[in-house]
Amino acid sequence: MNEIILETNTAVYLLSELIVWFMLLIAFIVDIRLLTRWDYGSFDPEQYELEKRAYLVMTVIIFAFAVKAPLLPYFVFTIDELSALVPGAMCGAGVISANGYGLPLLFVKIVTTLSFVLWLTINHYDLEEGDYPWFRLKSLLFIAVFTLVSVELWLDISFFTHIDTTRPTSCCSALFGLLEGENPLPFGLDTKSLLLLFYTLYLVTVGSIAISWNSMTAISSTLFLYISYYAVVYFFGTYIYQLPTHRCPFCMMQKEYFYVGYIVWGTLLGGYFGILSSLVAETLPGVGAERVKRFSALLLTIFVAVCSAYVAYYYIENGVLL
Amino acid sequence: MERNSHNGNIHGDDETNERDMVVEIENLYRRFDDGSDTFEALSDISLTVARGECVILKGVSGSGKTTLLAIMAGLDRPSSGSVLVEGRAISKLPDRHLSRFRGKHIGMIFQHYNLMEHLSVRDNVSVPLVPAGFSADEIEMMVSEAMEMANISHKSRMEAGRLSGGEKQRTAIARAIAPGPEIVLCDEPTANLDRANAEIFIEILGRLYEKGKTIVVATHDPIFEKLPFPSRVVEMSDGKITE
Amino acid sequence: MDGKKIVQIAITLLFIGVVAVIFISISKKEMPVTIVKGNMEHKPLAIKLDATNDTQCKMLIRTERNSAEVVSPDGRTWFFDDPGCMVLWLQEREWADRAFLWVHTIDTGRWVDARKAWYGVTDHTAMHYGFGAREKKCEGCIDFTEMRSRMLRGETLVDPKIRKKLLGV
Repeated sequence: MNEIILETNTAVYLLSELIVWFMLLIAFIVDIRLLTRWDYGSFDPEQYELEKRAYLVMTVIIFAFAVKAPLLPYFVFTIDELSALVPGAMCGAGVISANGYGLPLLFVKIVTTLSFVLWLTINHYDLEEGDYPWFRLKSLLFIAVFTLVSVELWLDISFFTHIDTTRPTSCCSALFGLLEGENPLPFGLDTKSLLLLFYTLYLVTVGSIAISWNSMTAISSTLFLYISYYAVVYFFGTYIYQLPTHRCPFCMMQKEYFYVGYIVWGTLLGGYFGILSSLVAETLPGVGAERVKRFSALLLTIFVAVCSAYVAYYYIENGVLL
Repeated sequence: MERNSHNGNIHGDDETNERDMVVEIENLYRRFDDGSDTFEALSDISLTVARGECVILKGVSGSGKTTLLAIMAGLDRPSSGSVLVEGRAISKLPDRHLSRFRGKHIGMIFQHYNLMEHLSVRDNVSVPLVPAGFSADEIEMMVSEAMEMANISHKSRMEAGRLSGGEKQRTAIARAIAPGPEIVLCDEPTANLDRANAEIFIEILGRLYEKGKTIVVATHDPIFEKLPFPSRVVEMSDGKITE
Repeated sequence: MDGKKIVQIAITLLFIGVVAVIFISISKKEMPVTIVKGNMEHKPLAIKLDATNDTQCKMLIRTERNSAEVVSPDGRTWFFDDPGCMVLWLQEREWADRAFLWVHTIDTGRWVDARKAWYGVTDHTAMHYGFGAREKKCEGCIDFTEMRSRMLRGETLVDPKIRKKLLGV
């Protein structure tokens, strides 16, 4: 375990997560008091004091997120670097499956990031109003965020302290838990129908954003996210690696592939998070989040363009597809 | 809008309760805590100012009038009590809202002018208009009108640092009224002026009153005891209103 | 009809298309076999080769030779491409003692009770553990209990030291 914890990136990463957690702990303690005593209509000294503290709490949370946001790609980078120490691991995918904490940790990280984005969105509109109409809602949401961050920290420490550098781990097949011979694509799709769904759902998502059809946007974007994961791993990824059998969501984040994985997954997740948070914001009375939705559509467009570009490039270079 | 020579009430005394209140302060306290001691700068202040009224907050140094003015302007927050300006509880607005509100509704004239010495008169007057989103043509028009009202147009290109005390004060007036605020707050505006310039200031104040502005002046200068236009004097002492 | 309405109709049609593709694919989906229920006679079942997965190592079972089956007391049947995989998977089942274990022998080519079979230690097997199941005892063969112990201790041909000791390579 020591060689893992003492590895520079791991130490920096864990220390950063710990510091963020402490900041959020302070915000959490103050938030509980705010939630129980808040009465915006009151002009008592206590309420004035609470309003000052509320501003402090918001500032702390926003700063914590500003530090935490780059920690997600840094986590991916760190485990990728650790693959040199873990036998059998060729990239982050192998390190993630080195113990039972890895995949739950990755899942919690994504959910935590999403919940942070939701909180920031509600906070933005709450401050815009000037009389904090959604103060209680965002305070309750922050309690959920802090719980997730605490679970994440525990999983972080458990994950890194339980990586056994003497026991071999496996790579992509262990991560996906596939049965040999089984069609890995969802719904029994083949590659052609997977791509058909990929591009169609992209058009449906962007089109529904353009005409502000929120319910369709919610459904199509979620389905698009799901289909995109498989499309990237089982089709577009093979063109990034230029190898039909190389199916890994992590390797494309390495230097050899110009770190393009960060752009691919970043634009996909960023676009989806943006859509989700704007749809949630628009459930608040009087709130319009058109700009966020359009920016999210732009991110998804970049995602589709980058993925398609690799296929086009391969075809132009070689005259055939893989 | 022309004013008559009543006591400042457009509609007459009997209709006070029905008047449009621009400033409503109720049970206001302002305490300063330095750890071991608590100093009460304002104690149980309740005050209303009607639209178009001129109120003189009179009191010696340390009576709390500047603190009260700062709270009315949103530059300070009370320890307790409500402060409503144009119907908004400004004591509770978040900072960014307060800045926007102040820029739109309140013009402030300070004792020490607070001009940017290296900028010209014109540029000093335009400063509050730039972040408010006005176009260049609109800014030009508003700046010219304000300088005209404050009688400082002839010095528009001069650097503020080279102006006399009276000219600086008139530049400060122009800057305060350029965005077209309904309320003008003045903190010891004649403290650094000689008699002649003080009278010029009073004259400009009269023009603002004629235009229907709501004016509150915090001062201990006796020149404000005999204004040529209707006003109401509120006496303060030791953080309380005595009269 | 205004532009927004046209776009809405187009989006609806596209989405219906998406749903249709998904449903059609689901109906055509073929799943590999991993478990068969209802085997209340607790007998070994014929294996669908190249379409049945070893529950332990997830590999496709390509030949019945040296394959294994576990039938639980309630009639569920699992399949393995190597007796070693069966042993590893079975250790986590609390009903292991009551399970019916079968191996397909490499000498007689029949399904026999795994607990009564004999096992060579240097055979070429699917997962390279080296334990080839036999109906008849051979020289150097070990019984089920010994085979199970060696599997759980990792004393198989996968271990280079054991390999060198038994095969000299």
